[in-house]
Amino acid sequence: MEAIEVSHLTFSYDGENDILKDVSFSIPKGSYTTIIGHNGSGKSTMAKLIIGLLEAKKGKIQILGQELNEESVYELRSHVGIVFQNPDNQFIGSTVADDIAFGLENHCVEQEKMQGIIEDVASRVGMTDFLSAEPTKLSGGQKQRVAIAGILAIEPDIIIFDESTSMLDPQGKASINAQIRKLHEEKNITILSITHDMEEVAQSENVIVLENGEIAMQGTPMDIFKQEDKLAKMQLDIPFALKISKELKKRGIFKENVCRLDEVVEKLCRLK
Amino acid sequence: MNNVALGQYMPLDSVVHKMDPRSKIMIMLFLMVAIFIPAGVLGYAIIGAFILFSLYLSKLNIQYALRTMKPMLWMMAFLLVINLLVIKTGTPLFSIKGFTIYSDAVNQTLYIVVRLMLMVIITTVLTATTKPLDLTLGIEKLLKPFEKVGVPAHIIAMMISIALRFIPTLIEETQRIMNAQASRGVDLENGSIKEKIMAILSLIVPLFVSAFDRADQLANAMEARGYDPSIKRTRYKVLKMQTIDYASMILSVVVLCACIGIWVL
Amino acid sequence: MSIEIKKLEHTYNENTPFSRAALKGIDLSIPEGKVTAIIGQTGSGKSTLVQHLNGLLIPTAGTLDICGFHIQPLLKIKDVKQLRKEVGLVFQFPEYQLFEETIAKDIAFGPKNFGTSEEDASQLVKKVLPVVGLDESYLDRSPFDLSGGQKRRVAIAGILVLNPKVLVLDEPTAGLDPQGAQEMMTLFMNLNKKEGKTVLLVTHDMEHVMNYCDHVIVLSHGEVTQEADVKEFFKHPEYLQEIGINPPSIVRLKMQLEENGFELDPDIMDMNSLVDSIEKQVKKHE
Repeated sequence: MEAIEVSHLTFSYDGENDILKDVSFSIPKGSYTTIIGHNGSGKSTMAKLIIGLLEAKKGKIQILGQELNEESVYELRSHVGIVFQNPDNQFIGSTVADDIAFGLENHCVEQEKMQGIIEDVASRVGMTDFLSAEPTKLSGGQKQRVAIAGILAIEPDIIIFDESTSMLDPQGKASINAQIRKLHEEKNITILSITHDMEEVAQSENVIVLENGEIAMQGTPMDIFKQEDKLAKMQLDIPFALKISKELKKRGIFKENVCRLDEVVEKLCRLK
Repeated sequence: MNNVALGQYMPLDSVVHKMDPRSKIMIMLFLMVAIFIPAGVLGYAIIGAFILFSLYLSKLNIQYALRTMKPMLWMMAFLLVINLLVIKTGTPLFSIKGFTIYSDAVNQTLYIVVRLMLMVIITTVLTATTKPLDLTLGIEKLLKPFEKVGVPAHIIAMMISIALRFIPTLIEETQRIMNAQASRGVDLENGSIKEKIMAILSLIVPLFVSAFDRADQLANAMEARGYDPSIKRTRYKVLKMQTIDYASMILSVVVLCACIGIWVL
Repeated sequence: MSIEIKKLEHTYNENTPFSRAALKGIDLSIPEGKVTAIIGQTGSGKSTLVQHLNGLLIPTAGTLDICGFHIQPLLKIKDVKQLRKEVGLVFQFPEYQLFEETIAKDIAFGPKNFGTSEEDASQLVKKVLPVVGLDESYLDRSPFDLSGGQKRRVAIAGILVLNPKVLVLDEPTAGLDPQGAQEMMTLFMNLNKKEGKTVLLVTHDMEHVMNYCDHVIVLSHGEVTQEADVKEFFKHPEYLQEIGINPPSIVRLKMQLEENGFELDPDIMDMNSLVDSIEKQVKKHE
């Protein structure tokens, strides 16, 4: 059973111009998938369809083997969480603890259990000291970490990140990327991340490239980055680590290309 | 924007801060009713004593409480002028250039000013000692019995708490748009009426556009997190009444009864 | 004429319990005709500083000389409008300042505020559109129907149309995709190279600083902690991490290699010379 299975999905906002055109893909349980593509390629629309905020024109979405429709959407939302782009516009509670509690309240978790869960998830995202802090006192990165905690609280199977780091400063970005990596490593949560950050793409397992509402490429990060001409045509860049790796390969230093900076360093150290 | 002291929460550690928001709201309601009972000087003295005592217990700075009155001063001055012009009963006190001031006008004005001041102070004590979220929770719980007759208590509470949550964000946004338009040469102080209208439009339109954007995104976030106004939810915060809550509520009822007593007798 | 800032301080809500010192004695000289990056963590005072440059804020102490204006505390700037015309300030997410029915009207809003006639303004609008990469077919469209990136171009055109000598940009690429960000940076570089505008760029993106800027100013807790030529600046990456700034990829790689015993010349700032240097220190293949 796949975590997410999208088949022949077509969607348009106005009934004329299709934002997504007959898109099919599947995401295995416990995997870490990134979706890349330009603004307007249909990435965020895809996320909204999977979480059931929008309804497809044609095609179907299955989450954990269950078809997403009006009846199942509420139940499925206790399995899927999403972190949006703007840290301010998804912070609902007036303090960190209240915001984490919001999802628990919606899913009717008993009041006695809440405090324990809140403390647990806050410590997992490193926000224990901020439980009574108000959102105006938090940085963008901290707010996004609270958003992640709020989702972890309902013990989801799938977390979607919809450009969650694009409005953050480099520190915030790094802390959220580290958080995503940690989630992927420690628990069996399926991660689907929509991003522009090629360094994040390099740390994922699968990549889907969307272009004008269609899947242009799909595969491991290396599979994708190999097709440089195609990427260049779409004006998508490759990570710096891969650029230098290619240069090193050209000069006969590397036999195989790598796309993460830590891999480059590790390989070079072995050769020293 | 830091002059907006009215309604601002002051994080202090006092008995009043620790009280249940429901009892604080009820006390405020009792006192509001009491303030409107024409119980004369004695009545206001009793209410005033109660309010000043709660101000003292709340550890709030008296200066702070007075500062919250600032925005009211103009209104009071306006009332004074209107009253002096309109009310022509009671004994004439003195006259300036043929314009006579009557005792009732002065009395009325004084009463109104005292009433307003008492109301502002009591509201300030409530909002300064109660976190907005607790306040909304209190309102929600108090409205709960009315849900049976169709009052959507928790939706009202949710609306209030979201509005409160976004006030600082929107103030910041307003400041940013004002700066951005000033950089495009907008001058809110000078210029013809037409220019001023344009200047105001250049603030309001972007503010609305962004507020709608935020609302849309917020609605998505809430829905994605399983919020559905039509279904039952559990609550994280629970309220608990303590002895001080009951005691102070009884005391406020006594104040109310005293005022009614003075008025009737 | 360069921008001279001397002992500039700014304290918000001075003499109130809410008082907060945002800038604590800034001494700076920003060169004319160059691209200068202002970097620093969120809350370091960058935004406060740039708001002084066009008179939105008046210093609480110290002075500022810019485009022939001398700004000092407690003194209202004479003809502040003229200053705002000479120093164009583009705020973060400028697309949120659009409000007119058509793009032409929105861009013309600035010039009209500065007293340009209707006809002259519409001529200026037609001239500025291609600068931001839009053609005349956009003139009568509503700005609200555009994509995020296009909206931002229109908003920036609304400042460029005033033909400022100094252009101050507060994180102009935030939220754009990498391609959009690059196009935006190219636009500003052209304005600097071809029209000789002084550009001040507030940014978090160190790749942009490295690739596009001449000069760097670092703010931390309201003070200037470093001011340097870009080439010099990235030679001391340890310092960057101390102030919580993520260095560009190439600098990060150099740091990690040095930690592992590689010896690299601090002057190396491009990939080829880095690979040259690595080549001498490793054996081929694993």
